[in-house]
Amino acid sequence: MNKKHLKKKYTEEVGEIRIGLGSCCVAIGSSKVQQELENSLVETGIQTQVKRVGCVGMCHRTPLLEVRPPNQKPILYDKVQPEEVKQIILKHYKPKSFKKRLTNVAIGFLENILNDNHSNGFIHHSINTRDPQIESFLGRQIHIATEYSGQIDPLSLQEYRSKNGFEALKQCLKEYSPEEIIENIKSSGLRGRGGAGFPTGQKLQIAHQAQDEKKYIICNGDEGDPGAFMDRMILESYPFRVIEGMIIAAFAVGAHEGFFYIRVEYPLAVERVKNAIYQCEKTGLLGENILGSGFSLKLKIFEGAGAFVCGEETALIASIEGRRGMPSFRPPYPAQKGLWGHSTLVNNCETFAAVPWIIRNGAQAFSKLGTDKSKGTKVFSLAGKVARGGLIEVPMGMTIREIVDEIGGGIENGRQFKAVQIGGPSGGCIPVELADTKVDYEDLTKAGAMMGSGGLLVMDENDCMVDIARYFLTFTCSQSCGKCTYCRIGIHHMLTILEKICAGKGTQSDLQKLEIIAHKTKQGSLCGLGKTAPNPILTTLTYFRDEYEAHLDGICPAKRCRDLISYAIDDSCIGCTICAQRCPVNAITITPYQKHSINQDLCTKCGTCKQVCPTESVVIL
Amino acid sequence: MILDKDNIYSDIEQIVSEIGTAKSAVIPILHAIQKKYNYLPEIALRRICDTTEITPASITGVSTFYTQFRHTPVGRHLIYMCNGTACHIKGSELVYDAFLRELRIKGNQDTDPEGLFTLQKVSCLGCCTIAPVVQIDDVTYGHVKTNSVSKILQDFISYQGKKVEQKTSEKKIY
Ligand SMILES: Cc1cc2nc3c(=O)[nH]c(=O)nc-3n(C[C@H](O)[C@H](O)[C@H](O)COP(=O)(O)O)c2cc1C
Ligand code: FES
Repeated sequence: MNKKHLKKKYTEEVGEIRIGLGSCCVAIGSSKVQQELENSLVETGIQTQVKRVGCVGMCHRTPLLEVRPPNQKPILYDKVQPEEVKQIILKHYKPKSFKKRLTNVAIGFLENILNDNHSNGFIHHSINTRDPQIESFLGRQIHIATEYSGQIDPLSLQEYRSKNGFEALKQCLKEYSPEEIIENIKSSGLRGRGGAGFPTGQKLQIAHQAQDEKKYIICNGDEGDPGAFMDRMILESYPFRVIEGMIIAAFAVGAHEGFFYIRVEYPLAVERVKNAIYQCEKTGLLGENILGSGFSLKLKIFEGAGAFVCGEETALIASIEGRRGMPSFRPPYPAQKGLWGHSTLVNNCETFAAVPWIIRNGAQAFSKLGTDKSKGTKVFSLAGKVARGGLIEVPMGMTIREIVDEIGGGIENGRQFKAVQIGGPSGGCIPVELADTKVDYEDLTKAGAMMGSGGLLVMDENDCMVDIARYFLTFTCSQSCGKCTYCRIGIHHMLTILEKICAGKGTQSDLQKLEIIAHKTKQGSLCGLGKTAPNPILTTLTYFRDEYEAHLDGICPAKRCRDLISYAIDDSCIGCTICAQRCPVNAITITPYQKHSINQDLCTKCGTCKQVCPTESVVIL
Repeated sequence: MILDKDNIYSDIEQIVSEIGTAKSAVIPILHAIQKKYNYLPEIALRRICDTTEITPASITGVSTFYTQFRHTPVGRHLIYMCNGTACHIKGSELVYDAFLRELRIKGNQDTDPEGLFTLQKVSCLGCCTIAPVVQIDDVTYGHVKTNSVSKILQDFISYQGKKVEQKTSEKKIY
């Protein structure tokens, strides 16, 4: 197949077509769309450039295709199906030869006849970037770590450089001393994005001052929070930016060797970072004597093996050393004594990604954004029951309500906003009454939650808060490394109590027990895992105590806990037998044209009948 | 795949020569073995201890600590059912049960009677906006519902069929 013209460079004459190839896009089928696009271009002889771009952020509308015809306004198509691709490009481009044009018209004509959906086949999908919905999704966002989101090819070094990429590095190597870089980062007010929010400049300084002939640098891309994906998107979409930030930081502290610690569950991120490192080595951006400065740095990838606690820096270091990932007591901090006993700078990948921007635009530009103590922007993965989920970057100080309503477009299906879970297993649930809380390290901690790595999960009235607490405790219980007694046994004990409550067998004294153990576990644990694991319980107990109490009476208000609900069929049933056919345990007898009923002894509460019922006659009691 | 001792030994030799024999190589070595066999055969682990600086205590300790490593064989395909937070609130538990039913996996087992699929819960596949998510080998499915489970399995099998046809034009069983 002749694909030569696909590689044509962007010029005014040919324009370009951008296709999003982040993980969400690929999962929903953008690689099929890409294939179809390439085939259609070859078939029609249309000349244009196809460009794969990283995550656009609008993960709720994938696959995304942006057509930028020459001298015309760009148009973004969402939820593109492979079948629609040809129609879309023919709408903007004319096929090359007259003969091809003719056959395309004929085919289009035939397709019109055969497929009467054509007229509204894709047009309703096309969205102008000035579409009010898109505008409010993108409008309040400020892209620093995710600069050029949806515009650059993740693996094109040339393109990254053409957009000021590696300029900051050049500046640092040629003009600044390590001390000046550290001073710069300090005055920008950048704080660690990995969770705890430790001032990055200060950490650099500690590592810089460490008297050690050998130093290491580690990029933490472990992202253990089971409901967050920003580190993945940053590594997948902006590998060069993270590498640039790492080289600058390594130069500032004097490290010559480093690691990317990436979760093994993120194969695409591993692949792209590997490729990016390779390209940098080839072009003298990594390795010996970087850009002729005399400074050298070697980077390697280390794949994690599925342990949440390995996101904790000392456990992460143990893991690279080939041991069980168990945290150790700090101080000494890794910046003083880390990997193989040497000074080691550990930072989150989002922290590194912000560094080049700060150098290029100045510390002031960064510290102008945000609140008093939390500067700059934060990337969140917005998911859950929100209408428009995705990867977003907002200035610190924005309120949770603004994020959910303006960027997220409110709750999907018009249901009631109930709470957000922020910070993953270490964080907490913030109820809608406190939705005006600002996104700020201190304010979130005051509310009982935590910035964490940046997972933001929106919940509606159908989510049971006791169940959420139980869910997180199941997670932390399985992830506790077992070193501290309170973490190992305390979490397990709290989980047992929560399971009892979810089964409707809890008592008032169980709630008190929960509180006591929660506080003891916080005090008696060495690392952040045990210290923060009780947060989901404590916040839900504070803000949703009535829900716990309802469970004591055997009622799950959100109708979620399986032991406390039952399924039934109401009078609107038309007797279509679909539910009876689909019931996996034959709990519904096939009685055509008669109201069906569910045999409660057989029912396993799998919910299938509710999903398939065309008249919404299945109710939960 | 036939697991005979000589084959394993030569595989191990190659893995070790690529990664190294130091104690700290244990996790990359385990990843490489698991990539090869989809689990960690005991005889391979013993061989590692014989040919490197890694001790039996360290290899047992490490391979049981990290959830990624498996000590029992798996079916031909691996189904990763996401049990992350976003998927949980969108009902992944029910989907998991539906897979168990559809594949007739019973009791404490995680593989279907034919040995074709192994079902495994994982936390967050990183596509939370399309929750609930399930990944079969390298194919990801989003917005999964309990009643779409059998369709997904069929789709996956036909996708595999196509891949196999492309490669060897061999017909797929099942
Ligand atoms: C249980 C636990 C899990 C953690 N998980 C992560 C993680 O997934 N990613 C991360 O960057 N930091 C994680 N951290 C924080 C790290 O220990 C460390 O503070 C961070 O990588 C420092 O980088 P920063 O200063 O850029 O935030 C975790 C901490 C704890 C206690
Ligand atoms: S929670 Fe399932 S993909 Fe993130």
